[in-house]
Order: sequence, then structure tokens, then C-alpha cells
Amino acid sequence: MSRRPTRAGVHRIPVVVVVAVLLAGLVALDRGRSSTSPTIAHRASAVDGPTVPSEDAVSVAWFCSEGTSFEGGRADETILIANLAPHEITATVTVMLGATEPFVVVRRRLEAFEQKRVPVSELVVAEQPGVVVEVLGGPAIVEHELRGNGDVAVSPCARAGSRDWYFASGTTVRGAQEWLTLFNPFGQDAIVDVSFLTATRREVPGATQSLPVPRHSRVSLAVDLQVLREERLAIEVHATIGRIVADRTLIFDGTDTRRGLAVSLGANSPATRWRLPIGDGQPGTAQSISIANFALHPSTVDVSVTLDGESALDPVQIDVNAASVVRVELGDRVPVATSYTIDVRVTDGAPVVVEAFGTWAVPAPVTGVATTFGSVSTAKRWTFAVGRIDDEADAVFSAINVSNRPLTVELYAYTAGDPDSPFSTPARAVAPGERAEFRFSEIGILPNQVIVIQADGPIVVGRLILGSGASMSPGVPDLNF
Amino acid sequence: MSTAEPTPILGDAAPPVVVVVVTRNPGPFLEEALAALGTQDYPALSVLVVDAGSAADLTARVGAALPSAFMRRLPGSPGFGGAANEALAAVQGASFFLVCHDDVVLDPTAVRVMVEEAFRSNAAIIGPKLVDADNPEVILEVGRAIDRLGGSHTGIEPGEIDQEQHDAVRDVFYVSSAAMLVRADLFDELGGFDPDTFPGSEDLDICWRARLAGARVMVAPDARARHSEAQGDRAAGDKATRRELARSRVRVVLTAYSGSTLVHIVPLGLAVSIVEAFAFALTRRRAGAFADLGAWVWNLLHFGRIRAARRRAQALRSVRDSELHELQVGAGARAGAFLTQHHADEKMRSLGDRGRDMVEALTDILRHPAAIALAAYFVLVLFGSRSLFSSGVPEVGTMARWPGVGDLAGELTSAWRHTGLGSTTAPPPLLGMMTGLGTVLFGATGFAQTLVVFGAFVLGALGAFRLVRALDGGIGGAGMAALAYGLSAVPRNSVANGRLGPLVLFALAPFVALLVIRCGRFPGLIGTSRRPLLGLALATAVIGAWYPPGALAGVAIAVGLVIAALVTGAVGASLRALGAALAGVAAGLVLLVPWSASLLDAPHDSAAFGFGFRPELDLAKLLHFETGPNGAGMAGWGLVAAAVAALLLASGPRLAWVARAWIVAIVGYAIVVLPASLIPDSPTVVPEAGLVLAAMGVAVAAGLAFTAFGEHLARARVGRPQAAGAVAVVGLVLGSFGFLGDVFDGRWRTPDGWAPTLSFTQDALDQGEFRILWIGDAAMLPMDPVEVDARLSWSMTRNGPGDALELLRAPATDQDRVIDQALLAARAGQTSRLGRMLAPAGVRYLALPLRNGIGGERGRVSPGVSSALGNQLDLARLGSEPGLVLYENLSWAPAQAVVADDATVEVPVGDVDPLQSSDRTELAGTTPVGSEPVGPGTLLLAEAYDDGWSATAAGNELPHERAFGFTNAFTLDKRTVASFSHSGKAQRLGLLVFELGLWVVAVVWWFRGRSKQPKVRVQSVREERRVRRLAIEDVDYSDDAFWENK
Repeated sequence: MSRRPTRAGVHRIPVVVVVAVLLAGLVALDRGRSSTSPTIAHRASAVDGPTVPSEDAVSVAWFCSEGTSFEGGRADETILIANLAPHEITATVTVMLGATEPFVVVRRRLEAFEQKRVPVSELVVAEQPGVVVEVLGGPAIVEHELRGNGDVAVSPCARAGSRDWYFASGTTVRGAQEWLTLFNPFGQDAIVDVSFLTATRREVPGATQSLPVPRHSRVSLAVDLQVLREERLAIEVHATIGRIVADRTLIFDGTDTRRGLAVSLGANSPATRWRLPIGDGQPGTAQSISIANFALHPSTVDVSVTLDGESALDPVQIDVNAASVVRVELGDRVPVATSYTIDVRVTDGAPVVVEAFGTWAVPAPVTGVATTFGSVSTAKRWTFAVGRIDDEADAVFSAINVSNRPLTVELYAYTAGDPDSPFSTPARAVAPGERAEFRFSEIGILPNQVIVIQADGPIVVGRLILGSGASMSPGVPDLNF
Repeated sequence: MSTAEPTPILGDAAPPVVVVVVTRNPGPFLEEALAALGTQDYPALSVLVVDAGSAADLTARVGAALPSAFMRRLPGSPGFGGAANEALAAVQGASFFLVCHDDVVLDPTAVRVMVEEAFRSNAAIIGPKLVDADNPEVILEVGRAIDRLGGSHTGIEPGEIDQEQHDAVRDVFYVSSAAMLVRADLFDELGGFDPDTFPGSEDLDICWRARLAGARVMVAPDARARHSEAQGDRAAGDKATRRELARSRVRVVLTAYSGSTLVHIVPLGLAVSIVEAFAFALTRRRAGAFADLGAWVWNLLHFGRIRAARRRAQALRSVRDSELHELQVGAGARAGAFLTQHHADEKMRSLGDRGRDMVEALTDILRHPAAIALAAYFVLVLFGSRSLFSSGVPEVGTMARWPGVGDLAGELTSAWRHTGLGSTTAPPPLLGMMTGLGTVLFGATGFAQTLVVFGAFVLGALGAFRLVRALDGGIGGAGMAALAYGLSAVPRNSVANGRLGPLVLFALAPFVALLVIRCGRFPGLIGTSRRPLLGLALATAVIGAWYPPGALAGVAIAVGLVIAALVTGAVGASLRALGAALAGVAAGLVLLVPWSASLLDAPHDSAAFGFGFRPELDLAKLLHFETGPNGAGMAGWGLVAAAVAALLLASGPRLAWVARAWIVAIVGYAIVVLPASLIPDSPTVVPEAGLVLAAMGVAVAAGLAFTAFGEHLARARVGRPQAAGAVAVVGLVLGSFGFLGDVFDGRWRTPDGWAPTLSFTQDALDQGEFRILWIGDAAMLPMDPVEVDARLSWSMTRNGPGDALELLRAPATDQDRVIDQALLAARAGQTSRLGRMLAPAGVRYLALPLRNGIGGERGRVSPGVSSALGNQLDLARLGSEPGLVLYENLSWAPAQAVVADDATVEVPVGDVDPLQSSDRTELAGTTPVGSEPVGPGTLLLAEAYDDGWSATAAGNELPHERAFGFTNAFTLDKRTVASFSHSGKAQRLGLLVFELGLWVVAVVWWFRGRSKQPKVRVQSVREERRVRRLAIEDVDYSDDAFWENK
């Protein structure tokens, strides 16, 4: 009865059915619609920290914040530029001295795979030099070497400014100085809030709020004058206006047996997993990691230590309260003379920032202190502007296999002008979770060689320099490889 | 003390005056005119009668009336001016010529008074006061003024009594050739009358040219002449037609105005004549309706005939057009003349009849509740748009500010399209339409824009009304459909989201639907339409001009009809409709030539044609049209519910139309949803565009539901239909809630645009012209963005936040793609010198809008862009309103700049990589090129490189090279003033005229088709009404018998 045609021969039921089916089809299509989020690679911002620019990069700037270039400065700065291209490139080094000061600019040509050292003191004598290195014509990486207090620190410069910077492993105990350098290489003034985490609370000194960092300027903040005598001190830097680059420097005068200089480029954001490939267990060393939780709710993290040649130690579960920093001493757990890797994973709660701190004293071959962040990213290829900093120094490169299959890891040391025949070590097979170690004093790599470590799968690589002091730093991943 | 006699100005030696009376087949008035000349008290007067080809010999008549007169008989009829010229060429020694018609009777003192005044005021041309020959108390004219289009205005009311109220001696624009005293030397210098301005405009022409030469034209009212205005008494062959008069007048306008003035006068003339044609069509004088329009078109097509006269007129020019404006009258005079002059009685009668007919018809309709509701809707739309009228339309999206008519016309006729980095693509016809609208409103382009926005609401609703009336006939259903269409949130959100194109589509879509249906010749349609295909082509072209994707609306509707044919039948009609829709699109594209040729680039740059959006709205919101801040939330489902009810209520043919309406609506929804569903990240039109069709389908179904409900109500039984009808009514009521809520905002919740925030950039113009590069989500950007990828688009504006000149941008060129590459490089961290890369393009500011206006809807974030901009060494962030991230390019160079030879900068020229070369070149500090001398150095022009660009300095063309691989450089070897130009303007103008011609032909053809429609029924109804009215008017209300009978 319901199929009774209407006067014009149009059946109501088919009409209703067709309309309903079409509408239902529309709904089904809408529900089944794939996410319209585009798959665009934003490589520069997908990882924390600097990366190797791509081959087709037009011009890439590197920002080196910390460093001094005057007699008696806390950290004499030398810029290390490494050309990763098999052809000549140009690097422009600009030293910024203040909003109203003229720039000091030099231009350097680099041969294929050449490493160029540019002492800042040769360009300008200044207390607060901020250095920008612009590379034209191909991929290159830039690090800076800082010497002071009988120690040395080498770390990559930043490839981008950021509104947020985090440091976990600071201290203002007696005999320690902590400096925060804020560099604004951009064209507009920045306003910055700096706050601190101690073992139990967040400190927000009025003097470190709304700090102006004028354009083309660098500002150094003596942290130890703001937060007195704190054993553990993490720093959060937030630019309310503009972008900056932040380094943190620790200077120990030997009061508590620690002496030396440690410099770190900050991390841009907390993360849920941090890997530290460098664990030096030789006698005279002491290493710890600081885990800072800048969030308003607590975190639970697992700290795993994998010893060379043995299975991993039992993970330690640590609760990190909101707005606090926890330090984990590794010397108590790791057997003497055993190298190791560290893996910190957040199992519950907010992401954290993890930074390692190490001291070297007698009977270690060197004396010094060093800090380094863990890596949050993985890559098949890692680069370093320098290995050994001089002929007497040694350097140890560690590569962790973070895949679940065995990998082959190779180290290449490029010599200027020799793109085709780099020095290479025999390939090393590395089991999942384990590491390969390259000790430069044993394999004869020269201080002026550019270092590349690559594998057939994801690895994380770090560098330990032991010379006229100690320095730890992560490598610069090449995500284009 | 004695009273001295006034000294005669002329003294004893009066300058000789030759009176030239031009006649042709005169009536009895000739003798009286000649006799009056014989009674003049002027001593040195000679009379020459010129017979311009009368059938009979006038010698005897002239001799009898004025024996002293000379007689000259010309073969043929050279016209008034030609005859006067020919006769006067033979006259020697005269100081003045007095040119007279043969029906003018001068008072005895008239010649003397005029000559005296000529000396007193140093006037070159003098005219008398003209009064009616039969009734000398009635004044005819005391000199004349013209409006901008050459229309004559006497300033005298018809039948005005002469009470000496106009008797001041004064300058006038021109005096009638009925009696015109002209200084002989000036007459000679002007070359006499222009014979081609016959009939009717010889006097205007010669006076205008005299004015251009700096001479005074005056009226001396103490000199009086009676004028018979004997045109009506002449033989039919001697009468000038309205078309001839119009052609002469337009010829004078095109001859006398300067070229720069004609740039806006010609479009103004065309536009006004089109409007007047429609207005005349309402009167009984339809035959003359197109005389003015035809005159403009004819003269433009035969411009070669004007060229020589124009050259002569302009050669004498010593004053600017603007200096004569005070002698011209304003716009109101033209409208007034329409009603008061030239057969005013007839027009008024005709208008009156028509007006009464319309009022009566309207009254019939307005008695219906649905029509009352619709009228209330219109009032509420007006109320809801009040801020748009008082403050203008906020500059959001494509609701850009409309610049002045001159700027619009300039862009329309420019050989260079100023969008993006520029291109040689033809300008969009949209600019012509804006020019026309602005011109009709006498330059009030802002008001024109507001009218378009407001009018879209009204026109859309009326279109829906008309559509449903044609489908179903009932006023109730049509009114409800119109109401439902208007109540949908589509037009309101189009305004709020700054989407002009979909708004225009909303206004015209129902008309397109009706034309498509008429083309399909579906059975049972009410009324007919002649030339529906031509109408469809015109409507398609209009929509396409404003919104290119809208040109496909007819096809989308027809596709819906074809799908619906599966259940409703009428397959043949549906296919015919589809064919007509496709033909309409093709014809529409022809009307949009040459701009439509740029559609060939659509496959490479679909965003240029409106296909650049990736809406992420959920379907539920789409289904009830909530794509912006306007709407009623859940109550918005009411309209959909009313349409659903139609499926249950309608039957027979009405059910077929409900089904078709629903499927058209589904096609509309699918246009928004389907592309992204089938191909992720595929671009489509803005949601409001698809929803226009959906709203129309829903509204038609709802309207038909109402009609069906009315029929069911008539039946006593209560059942399913009545329940469904109740649902329909409640649905409509619910649907109105959102509208009523939005009305109070005053501008449909449209946010403030960014123009106030960027007003400071106007001060920056002193440092050189510049561009603003807008980056981000396409939906948030002004104008029509260029798409880089699914999440990143850009648009460019010049010297500020942009205006309508930059709407409907040209398809992106290879040079535009350099901007793409620069942005991608910055986003990927492959440059820290984006400012340098953009400097050759003259980009001074970069704007990243996160909302579509201050407090507007938030858009999608373009990942990585904000941090990429923040990490550029040569960009400095500026303070701005929340929702807009603004940077200044520290490396910018003016759009027209010079790099001095002694600068350290070397401009990369030739075949260089744009990004590499610009990244290495610091242009900060370059100086702008203006009216001051510059150089020596390299001139930079921040337009896309094109061979047509040239730079000239000291009369020499400078060597032209490609700079930075994508812009222009010119080598200037000495310090001098330089200027840039682009060739091809003549070709552009030619194409423009061709396009205009196409439109005129199409409109005239279509309109004539409409006017020939059989309107027997309508005519008979009108006649019946008129008879009824006349019967009432004939009643003598003072007759007591009438009242007694009552």
C-alpha cells in the first residue's frame, strides 16, 4: 500500500529511500574521511636541538651564545665550522655586540669537508659577544669550543632561536658559579622570564622576570646570585616576546674537589625519553643525571643503565614531583672502569628534561667537569665538527643502537679537500641496545678532521673529549640521510 | 548736479552684425521671425536667410517679409550647422554673427542688448532669454547647463511663468542655437559648427569648444526672443529622432572631454544609459528606451569618425574639464529631468499606471501571511545590516575595500594585473561590474559594496520566491521558501567569514535554478520565459565574474535533476537541463572573455579560481549551515526538518519537485564533503558555496511542504500529513531563531578586519611603495591566496591591507612561485634570510593571521610557519592586535628602487637562481624611485619579469634585464628622473571594448526577448484595473446624484 504511486507517477517510498540513502552515504563518507592533516616534514622542528641542514639549504644560521673574547674571560670562545659538503662553501661569521653596536663580520671560505677554527678574540675583544655563523652553499655544522678555568667545553651551536629553554643539571653550591647566557640575534627585542627548580620547589625571583634582551645582544645572568646555595638547580627560560638562544655555563673553582668549566646548549622542550650514550666509568670520574620536571603534575621515570659487555642493570624507578629536580648518582651503581649508556624513560606523568653531569679528577687522566643533554631523537648519521681538540687530547665517540636489530656502525673522518677518500674505521656490528665506542687516540684521527658516524639503522651518538679538560656533548644528527 | 544720460557702449560705430536665419520648409512662423529682425533698433544689422534645401523656393516669401534680407539657397540639406557654416564662409567684415532659427521672434532691442553685453562682459557667445511664442509669459530657457553626460538642463520648470526671476546676466555652459550671437573671429577660430553634431547638439558643441578655448558664454536675459519650438509642425522627414539626438549629444561628449576624463565618463555613460533604458521600459516610451545606450555604443564603435573633431577641439584647449564643473549640474538634475522634461506628462502617466498596477499587484500578494512574513524578513535584514550601512563592510577575506571608480577603471584598462607579483593576465570582469556599480552611485563605491551585501539577502529570497512560484504557483509556498532560504545561516556566515563570492552566488542561485529548469522544459511549470538559455548564460557570467566556481552552479543543479530523474522521471527534461547548463557555462565563459582565457591555468593553480580550501567542519554543522559565528545551534535543524516534512506531505508533481530539491541539496552538501572524503587534502570551494545549493534545495522543499500542508489542512481529517505539516511549521519557526538572534549584532557578527591594525603602513608609503605578504591558512588570508601546500598559503597586497583591485588574482606565475619556494625554505629551516629573499618583491611586511579578523573565527595553524618567521635574522616582529603576527622585513627594498652605482651591493642579473641570489644580496637602504632624479645605478622594479616592462629616463629607454631571476632591473647611467611603464594598454582597451560590446549585445537581445513575451493575461488584468480606475476618476463627486445612489 505504501508503494502507491502519487498522481504524477512518483512513488513516495523510493523518493524517501533515495534521499535517505544519499544522505547516509554522505555521512558515511564524512566519517570515513581520512584525516586531512597533511604529512609535511618539518625536520627542523621535529627534533630537539640542531640538525644538519639539507643539501639544498640556501642559507643556514647557527647561533653561538656563550663565550667571551677578552683577557680573563670565563670562557674563551673559538668557533668551529665544519663543511659537510663535497664542495666549497662560504661562512659568514657575525659577532653581535649590542642593539646599537655595529656588527663585526668576517667571511670564510671552506674547502670540501674542511674544518675551520675562528677564535672570536681575533675578531673582537668583548665581554658579551654573540656569534652568528651563516653558511651559504651547502650543509655545514657549527660548534664552539670554550676554554676557561683549566677546562674545555665543546658543544654544538643552535640552529634556531626558541621561546623556551630548559636546563636540568645546575648547582649554586659553594665554589660553583652558574651563568645563563641569553642571546638575541634577531631584529626585535626579547623579554624573558627565568625561573628555577630546586629539589623541592620552584623559585621565581623578581629580578629574573621580564628581563630585556635587546636585539642583536647577549645578556649573561649570574644564576648563583639569584638562587643561593642550591645543590640541585634546574632552569626554565621563557621568552614572552621574541626568541632567544640560551646556554648555561657551570664553573667550579675546586672548593669541593670539582674544578673546571661545563657548557650546555639548552633543550627546547621536555620529552618522555632521553638517551645518553656516554657513560665513563674509569677511576676518578663521577657521573650523575638530573631529571627536572617543570610541569604542574608529577612524573615517574625509569632510569636504565646498560653496561658494556654485560646485560643492563635493573632499571630504577624514580618519582619526580611537580616543579622539582631529582639527581641520580650513577657512580654507586656502575662498576669501576666500565663504560655504559643511560636510558631515561617517562612511564607516567609529565615529560621531563634530563641532563648528565660528570667530573674527572685524579686518578682520571684529566681534570674537569662536563654536562650534556641526552638525545631525544635518533638518526642514521651523526656529525661532529671536531673529534680531538688537539694532538694531545683524546676523544671517545659512543653510538647506541636504538633499533631492535643488529646494526653496522662506521666512523668517517674527513680531511679538508678530500671528499672521496675519508679515513674510516672498520665497520662495527652493534647489537640492539648496545653501543660501539671509538677511541680516537687509538685510531689516529686528527684534530682538524670532520667526524661523521653512520649506521644502517637508527643510532644515538655522543662525544667525550678528554684533553686539557673534559667535555661531553651530543652529536648533530643528519636527518636527511 | 545733473543726471547724465548713460553712454551707449557701442557709440556711433556699432560693429556689424550678420544675422543668419537657417530655414528649411518653414511654416508660417518664418515671416514673423523675419519681420522682427526688420524692427531691430541695432543700426549695423544685415540679415542672411539660408534655405537648407526647402522643397519650395522661399525667395518670394523672404522678400515680402524683409526686403533687405539676403537670400542664399543651398542644395540638399547639410543640417543646421553645415548650412550656417556654408553661408557664413561667404560673409566678410562682420564682427558678430547672430545665428537664428526660423521660428524665433526677437524683441526689437534684442540684438543691441546682446552686442552690448558681449562688449561689457567680454563674452564670445551670448544668448537671449527664450519665451514661449504663443504665451510669452511662459519662460522656456535662460541659457543652459549640462550634466556630466552632456544632458541638457535649463533649470526651468515646465510652464514656469517669467517673473524676471532668471534675469541676471551670467555665465552659462551653452546657449541655444535658436538665437546665438557669436563673435566672428571666434567662430572662425573654432571652425564654425561641427556639421556632424546635427541634429540637436550644434549649439552645445560650439559653446563647449568655445569654453575649452577660454571664451565666455553668457546669457543676456534683457534680450528676449519668442520661440515657437516648431519641431512638431515640420514635415516628418525634417524631425530629428530621439536616436539621432542622442548620437549627436554623445558625439559632443566624446569630442569635448579630455582623455583622462573619458576614462570614467564612458563607463558612467554606459551604466547610466543602461539604468535609464530599464527605467524608460517602465514607461510607454520603450521605443526610445535604448536610444541613449545605443548612442554610446554607436559612437564608441565609430570612434574613428570622432577623432578629427576631437583633435580640433582638444587643440584649442586652455582650461581643464574640472574648471567647467561649476557650470555643469549634479546627478539629481538628470533624474529630475527624467520626470519633468521631455514628455513628462506621458511618462508620469505611464509611470503612474505602472506604479498603480504594481502597487495593486503587490497589495494582492501582501495580503498573504507568507508574504507579510517575507516583508518582515526584509525589514529585519535591513535592521541586521545597519552597521554595514553606517560603518561599511568590514575588510575580511574577500570583502576587501572597494577603491574609487577611477582606480577600478584604471586597473580594468591596465595592461598589467597588479595581483601577486603581477602578470599580463586580463583583468576580471568583476572590476568592470564594480566600476559600473560605483559609477551609477556617483562614486560611492563603499555604499555600492554595502548594497551588494545587503542586496544579496533580498535578491536571494526573491529568487527563491520566484523559483517556487514557477514550480508550484502558490504565494504561500513561495513565500515560505523565500523565508527559509533567507533564514538559513549561509548568507550571514558568508558575510561574517568575508566571502563575497558565495554571497553573490546566494543571491543568484535561485534564478539560475529557475532558468536551468525552464531550459529543461519540465512539465507543469507555471509561466514561460523567452530565451532562458541566454538568461542562463548571462546569469552564469555574472556569477562567474564575482565567483568563478559559482559559474558551475547551474551544472551542479542540473546534475541533481538528472540524479533525481531516477525516481521522478522526466529524464529527457533533466538531460536537456544539463545540456543547457553546460551550454550556459560555455556561453558565460564567452561573455567573460578575455579574462576567462586564464581558466586554462586552472589545472596548475586551482586556488586562483576558488578551489583552495580544505574545510574541516563536521557534517552535522554543515547540514544545518553553521559554518561561522551565525546560526541557531540545534534550532538550525528546524529548516532541515521542514524539508524532511515535505517528503511526507507532498504528492504528485509537487513530490517530484521535493525530491529534486532534496537531491540538489545533497549535491550541494557533497560539493563540500566529497572531495576531501575521496582524496585526502584535496581542495574544494569554501563551504558556503556548496551550502548555497543545499540551502536552496532545503528551502524549496520546505516551501513546497508549506503549500502541501495548506491543502491538507483544508481536509477535515487529522493524520500523518497534518503532523508532518506541523513539523514543517515548527521547523521554520525554529530556523528563524538563529536569524533573529543574529539580527541584533548589526553586521552579522563580522569581525573587524585588519585594516585598522595596519593603518600605520600608510605612513610608510613615504619611504616607497611596498607589499604585505600574508601567510598562513588559506581560510584566514585576505583576497584569493596562492596555495603552497595543504597548510600553507599566501596572498599579497600592495601599499596596505589591500583592496578590491586585488580580488580574483591572476593565476600564479613562475615568478609568484619564487615566493612559494622562499616560504618553503624558511619553514624547512633552509634559510635564515627570508627577508632578503622577499626584498626584490618589495615585501616590507609579513602578516600571519591566526584569525580572519579582530576577534574573528580562529583558523588552522600552519605548522612550523610561526617559528620559521621567528627565526629569521632579517625580520623584526611588530606589535599588533591578538590574532595577527606581524613582522617587518629589515632587508626590504621599495617596489621601485634604485641601487646606486657607488653602493657595495651588486644586483644579480641574468639567469640566476632567485633564492640563492637574493639570499646573498642585502637591499636594505636602497632608495625609492619617484619624481626626484635618481642614479646612476640599477633601477629595480618589483614586478614579475616581463618583456613588456620598460623604464624611461630623459626620453631614453633604459636597458632591461632580469633581476634576481624573477624581477626587473634597468641600467641608468646618469642621474635623472626615471619612470616605468608597461606596453599593451591599447590591446587591453580593445579587448575591453569587445567584451563590453558582447555584454551589451547579450543584454539587449535578452531584454528584447523578455519585452516580446506574450503578456495577454497580464495586460488584460492591467487594462481591467485601468478601466476600473478611470471609471472612478470619471465620477463627479460633487454630483449629489452620485451620493444619493450610493
